[in-house]
Amino acid sequence: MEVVILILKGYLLFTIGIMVIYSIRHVIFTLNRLFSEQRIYYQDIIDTDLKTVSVLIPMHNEEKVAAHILNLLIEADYDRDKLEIIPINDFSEDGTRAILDSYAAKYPFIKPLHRNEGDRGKPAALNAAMEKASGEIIIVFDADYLPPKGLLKNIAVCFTDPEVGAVMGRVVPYNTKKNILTRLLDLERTGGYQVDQQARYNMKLLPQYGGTVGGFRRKEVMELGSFNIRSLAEDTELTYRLAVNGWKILYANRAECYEEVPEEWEVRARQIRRWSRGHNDVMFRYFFRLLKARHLSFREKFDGSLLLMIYMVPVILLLGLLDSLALFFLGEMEIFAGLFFLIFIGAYNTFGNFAPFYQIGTGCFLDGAIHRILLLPLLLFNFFFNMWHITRGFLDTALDIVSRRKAHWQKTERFGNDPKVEA
Amino acid sequence: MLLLCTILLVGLFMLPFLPAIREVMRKDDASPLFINMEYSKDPRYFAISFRRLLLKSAGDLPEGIHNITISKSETIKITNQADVPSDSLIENVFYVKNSLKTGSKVSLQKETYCQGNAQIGESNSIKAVACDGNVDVGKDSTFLRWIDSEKDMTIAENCNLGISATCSGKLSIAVGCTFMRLYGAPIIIAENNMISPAGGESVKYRTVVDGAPTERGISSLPPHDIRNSNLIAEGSLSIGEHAVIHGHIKSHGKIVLGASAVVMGNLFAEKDIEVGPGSRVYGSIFSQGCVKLQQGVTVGDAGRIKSVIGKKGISLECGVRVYGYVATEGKGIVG
Repeated sequence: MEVVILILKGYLLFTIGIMVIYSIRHVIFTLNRLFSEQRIYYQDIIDTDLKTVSVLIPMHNEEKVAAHILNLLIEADYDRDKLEIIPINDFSEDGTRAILDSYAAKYPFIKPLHRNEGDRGKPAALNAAMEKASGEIIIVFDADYLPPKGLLKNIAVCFTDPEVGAVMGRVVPYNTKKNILTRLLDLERTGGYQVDQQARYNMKLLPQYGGTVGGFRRKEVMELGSFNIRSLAEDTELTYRLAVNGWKILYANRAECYEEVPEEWEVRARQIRRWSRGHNDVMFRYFFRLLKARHLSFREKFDGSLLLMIYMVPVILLLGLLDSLALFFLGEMEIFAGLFFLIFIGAYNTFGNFAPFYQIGTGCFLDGAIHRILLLPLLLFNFFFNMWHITRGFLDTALDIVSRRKAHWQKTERFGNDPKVEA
Repeated sequence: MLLLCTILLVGLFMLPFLPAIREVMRKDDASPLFINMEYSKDPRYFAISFRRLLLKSAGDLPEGIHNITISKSETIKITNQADVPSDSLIENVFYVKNSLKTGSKVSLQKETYCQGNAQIGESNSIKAVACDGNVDVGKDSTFLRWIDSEKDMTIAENCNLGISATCSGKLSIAVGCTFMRLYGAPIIIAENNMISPAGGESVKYRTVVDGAPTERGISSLPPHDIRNSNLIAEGSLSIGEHAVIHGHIKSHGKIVLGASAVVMGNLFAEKDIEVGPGSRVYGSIFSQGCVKLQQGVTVGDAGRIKSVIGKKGISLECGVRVYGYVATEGKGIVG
């Protein structure tokens, strides 16, 4: 029994250690954004010799939104001779095919890919489209995104740097007004992009390619094996695959694009559970490869490891909470009282979660959106919500590994019939 | 007592949530963050936008003083031709339908639009000028915002070019000028001191070979070396005189390019970039530090646009020629 208690106490201290490490990490990021010198992105470069671009838009039953993104991409200021748009109709059963064909008939540079056989899901769709694409650079958008006119140039310009393998732009929700969930997700995005990603870019760490509003080198990614069709976090996997092979991933804060965020808690729960399942799968497969990578600095490896583990932290915390309860009932809580530990974990949301209070507050401040900072305390509930569903995603991953079952891609449900920015 | 404590506890617990609940109810800041959906990078944006707004508001108005709305309510002075005497002050937006000439020490305190040629005298102080013809600027003049021409522009010594000096044609700048952004086809520094660039004027534009291999871990290259690859240096990189690189160069430290070297691709560095006299870079140059282009350096080629970006500062010496765009957040110095 003494050994069990020792293990439980040891785990409690381990949990506290993890929280302290992540807290310090995010304090450093926030201070970096507020007070340190900022690295500029390449958006100031004007160059008539930008690379050829293929824009890929995976679509599964996207008749509600397909026309919007195509209309915006038609207006893009990228050289038409160097641009092709490939909307990927991936087993759609609605009117998506007809919409895409009508655009293709009108615009020769829109070249739809209709898929009705083979593997389903975003990674498989992207792989098929990359085989068809001719662009040197692939830029990916989800179907509900609203790209501004100058976005493609902003993304493509960074590939004039021979070391850049991928780039990630900033995602901004347009349906913030809908309800409290969309407002809280807007806050998370602000902290995640304006502070977290930009600080990682400033500090030459490892910004993350997020799978949409971003681009990568087609030939080089295909040579590395394209996307893993079994992965539910193909974006995270690409980030680490490129990084361990010596490519740099950039973050472009000015390359902004609107997206739709989930409007229902149930949909958000499924989304974050899928992210957790996919991200943790990548963690198990890339953790040691990252540590052994030849072209990464110690700082990149260290922070890359923390980023890899980010979806495991809530699991560690939940177990820590249960651990503290066990110790309480065993009468062995000389370290911390159970209630205090609960408060401690709650407070961790303030100091160490991947989108903590001060990071989001700073992001809002930098964006000039001052009043929404008042919503920050409500993220406490979001934190526990996320912790539960991320843990479920982690358990999914564990089961995937043990049972060798195949994960199936799940599309996030769309809400807008008429996507538009409500001022 | 217990009830009081409970109420107090609940009250304290609720305290941080009250402003949040208020914001949820009132939605003072619920709109999406603004993204300009029409934004498209144009180095001449300021002037082009100003021309469009001014012509929309005042294009059909006769000579005289009028009140118009551009981005806000303004008084505008419209004239067919202007010869502004020395030591004059014009406080209104100034619209000249033909040519503009100013004497010395003239102050134009609002934006000026000239549809003919413009000849700016010495020691003028001007907020902003957009011109459809050629522009000549006398020495020691200061522009607070921008200066733009649809044709060629010549800037004499010791001018402060404000935020941007841009033109569709040739932009010639004399020594002693300071700037933040320049755009021209090409930009030429102290033309009289021009020396022939490496590769010669007749060199046809050559692009980097697609799929060129990448060499890593190089810190220096000897003079006259030839490399058919991209170079990536973990630290600083020094390239000898007359070396020829048929690829792009990236350094996580400084890049020092020796005299008369030729680089077919782009130069990227996390620290300073110094390009030696007479060298030629066919691609763009980007530094998170400073960029120094020594005498006779040529960047880019006719008919193409390339950029020189130095976050902390840019120094352009005599005879430098850049086909395209030059920008810094720091101080740009000519000479």
